[in-house]
Amino acid sequence: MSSDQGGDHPHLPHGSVWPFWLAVAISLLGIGLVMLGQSLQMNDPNAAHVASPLSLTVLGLGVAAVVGTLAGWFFEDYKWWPSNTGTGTHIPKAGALLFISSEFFLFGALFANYFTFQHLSHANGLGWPDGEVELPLLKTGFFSLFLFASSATIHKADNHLRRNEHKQFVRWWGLTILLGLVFLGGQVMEYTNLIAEGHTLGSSQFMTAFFILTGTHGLHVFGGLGLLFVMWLRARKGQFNAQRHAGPQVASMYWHFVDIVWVVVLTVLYILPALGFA
Amino acid sequence: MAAAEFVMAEPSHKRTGLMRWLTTTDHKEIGLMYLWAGFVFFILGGIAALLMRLELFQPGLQVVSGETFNELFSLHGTTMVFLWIMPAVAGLGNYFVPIMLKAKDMAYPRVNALSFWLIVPAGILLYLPLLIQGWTAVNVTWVGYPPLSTTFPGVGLDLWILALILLGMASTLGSINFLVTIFKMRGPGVTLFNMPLFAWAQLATSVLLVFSLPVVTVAFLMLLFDRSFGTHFFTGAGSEPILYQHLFWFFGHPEVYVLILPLMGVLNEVIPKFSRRPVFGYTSMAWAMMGIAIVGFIVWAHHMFTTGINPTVRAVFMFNTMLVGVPTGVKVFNWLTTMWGGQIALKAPMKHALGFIWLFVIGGITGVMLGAIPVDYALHDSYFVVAHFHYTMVGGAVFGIFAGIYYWYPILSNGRMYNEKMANGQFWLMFVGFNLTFFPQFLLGLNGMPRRVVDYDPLPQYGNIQTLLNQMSTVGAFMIALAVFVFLLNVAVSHRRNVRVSADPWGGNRVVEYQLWEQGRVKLGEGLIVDHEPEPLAVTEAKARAAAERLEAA
Repeated sequence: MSSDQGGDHPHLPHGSVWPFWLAVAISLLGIGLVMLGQSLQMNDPNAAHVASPLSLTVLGLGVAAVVGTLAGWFFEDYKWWPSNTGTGTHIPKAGALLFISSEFFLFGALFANYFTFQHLSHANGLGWPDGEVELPLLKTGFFSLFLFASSATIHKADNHLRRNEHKQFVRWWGLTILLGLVFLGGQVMEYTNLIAEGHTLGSSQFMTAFFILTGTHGLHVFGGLGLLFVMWLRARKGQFNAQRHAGPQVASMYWHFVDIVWVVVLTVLYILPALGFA
Repeated sequence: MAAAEFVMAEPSHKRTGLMRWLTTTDHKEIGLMYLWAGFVFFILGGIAALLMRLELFQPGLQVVSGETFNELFSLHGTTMVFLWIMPAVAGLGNYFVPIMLKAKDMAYPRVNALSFWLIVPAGILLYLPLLIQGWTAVNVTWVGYPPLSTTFPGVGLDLWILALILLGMASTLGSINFLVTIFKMRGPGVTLFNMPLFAWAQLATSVLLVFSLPVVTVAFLMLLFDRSFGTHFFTGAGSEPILYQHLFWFFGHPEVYVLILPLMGVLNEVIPKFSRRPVFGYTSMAWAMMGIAIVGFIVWAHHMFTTGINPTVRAVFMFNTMLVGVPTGVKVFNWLTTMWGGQIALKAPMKHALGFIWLFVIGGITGVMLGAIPVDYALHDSYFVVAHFHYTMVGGAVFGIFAGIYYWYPILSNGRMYNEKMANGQFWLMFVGFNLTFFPQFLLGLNGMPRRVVDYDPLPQYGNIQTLLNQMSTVGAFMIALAVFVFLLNVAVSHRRNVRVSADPWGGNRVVEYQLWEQGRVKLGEGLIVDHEPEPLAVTEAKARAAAERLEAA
């Protein structure tokens, strides 16, 4: 339809190979997940439920491919920065707000599932949680403090950026990443303990709802940390200032969102049952 | 504007051939790729439909087995919804919304390309099982209710879930892109309440998608977990199969408005243009579309009247469903009043637009019928429902897509013009064929013929009426296929003949996309240059008149 186009016109939009490869990478990750599911044979009660090496390899390759292509994508942002290629400060912010509101519906659906299970469990006279499980409220509460603190430190970093205090900005931003990592480490510990106690994804309806909610949140924290890390690298290279701060601003909005979701998850899954409201 | 002037049009690489298309971030090139991909899947989904109609030509099993039939209607539904209508409207939207807003490009050009590239693997994954011996493609209908969808073994169904998740990601990102473009990228002088109504249609559509897709993505993930990772979301003790239906239809009903609203937007452009009158009631049109979008979020349970949900809830959803008729009625009457007293030019785009109104009104009214609980109890899962939504999805959406493509054909194909006679033939084949296919299905449904069943009772006591109606339907389906073939032939011929126009061929109201195109500012691979004075209106108008006269003479 367009072979007769071309020539040396100015204003050719910059092409990029990364959208194509990212789509391929995401598909590969999905295929790995499907292969993993197939190899576990959960529907066959006599099977060993062990993941096949092939499926784990494909899944691993998928994860690596997604991370790699995203790195390429962000490296383009980094390269384009000096030439002002992009859409301006207010536009990434609008997209981030919309993305976050879409994510609220995602968590809304997960909570809808949680409350449905809770309701059914009571209706069936099983109580809630419907299995023997003791969530470590104190330990998780302790690690949550790190996440809550990270919302404060990122706000501080943002303020420094607005005042062009680049050094402090990078420092507080780095601290935010550390705090997020500590929280994520706490999550990993909690999962390890729960699994050691014999709880699995399918061991009871409560555990299913628990793992899917906290797992989805954990993945969001992980993704958010990746975003923070990219911004931190770019900031260390001297990018971002009081006039141009779209990237850090988007990352910090997203980070606050992840924090807010955790407040709800912690309240509903840990605090309310501990207080006897379940 | 920020302190620094940001540029979107930074020439970095010049690629040719395949690499150009693989790496493009130009909204127009992406729009064209969407349209081409859409047509590929339209043909695949159409073949599935033709096979089904062949099987149903006579009672008994002749062409395909019951198992294959299940795959055919599941593939047909999934394809037509997610891989034909959605890419086609995304294509038109991508191409024209930034131009109409005088924006350089979409807000996020790379994310835009990502949205497109996600639908390609999704389509491949969906059809892959057909190519592999021993695999079963999706066979649980396009809605995939548990417990069937959680218990039916085979990797084909997992791949279907994966494909839907990929398509969901693509649409979520695409809708965010449209919304940010519309709110933040409008060029000089373009405001929310003077932008073309097609952009309003995309706005309403995107609102629906952004908030409904995450919910169904969760439902699909739960399905995958139930199938693969030992959870019991929808089957087993303490689970709730109806929860899936709630999550699915929370998306599924907005989705049907997603399929129709952008094409209503096309009609908002086509009808004033070919009536030589300004659109009647611009503001009410814009709000009607937003009204459809908002009410669209609170009607989902009308798909679940027969599942035994709470009667009070049912009544509320019935009321909300009836409510959708109001903004839809506003739109239909606005189209009629736009035409009232106008000089109607019956070119192919306008014929398709009029076809849309006729057929969509039939589809809409039968929708209100089905929205009434007692009627739904009688007709649920019958061919009446099939006929109803095909009158909206084909009679509405697909006629709208053709209207849009014909209307913007010169811009889309770099100045080439299609053959009006062939387009006329295509329209009548399609219009007659469509009614021949689907009107009998209303009657079949009233006779009690259930949908999704490979065989039927010919009802010999009534003179084999069931067979006769099915045969009419099959003949009609092949007429639609012929119409699509004529359309594709028309496209091929237009490229061969290379008849070119350099100006708006339609005359009538001046519209922004043709104005900019005539000025040579809409070029593939180039961002729109927005910061210079446009050509004086009188000059473009003279050009348009001359072009219209030339075309009239030809």
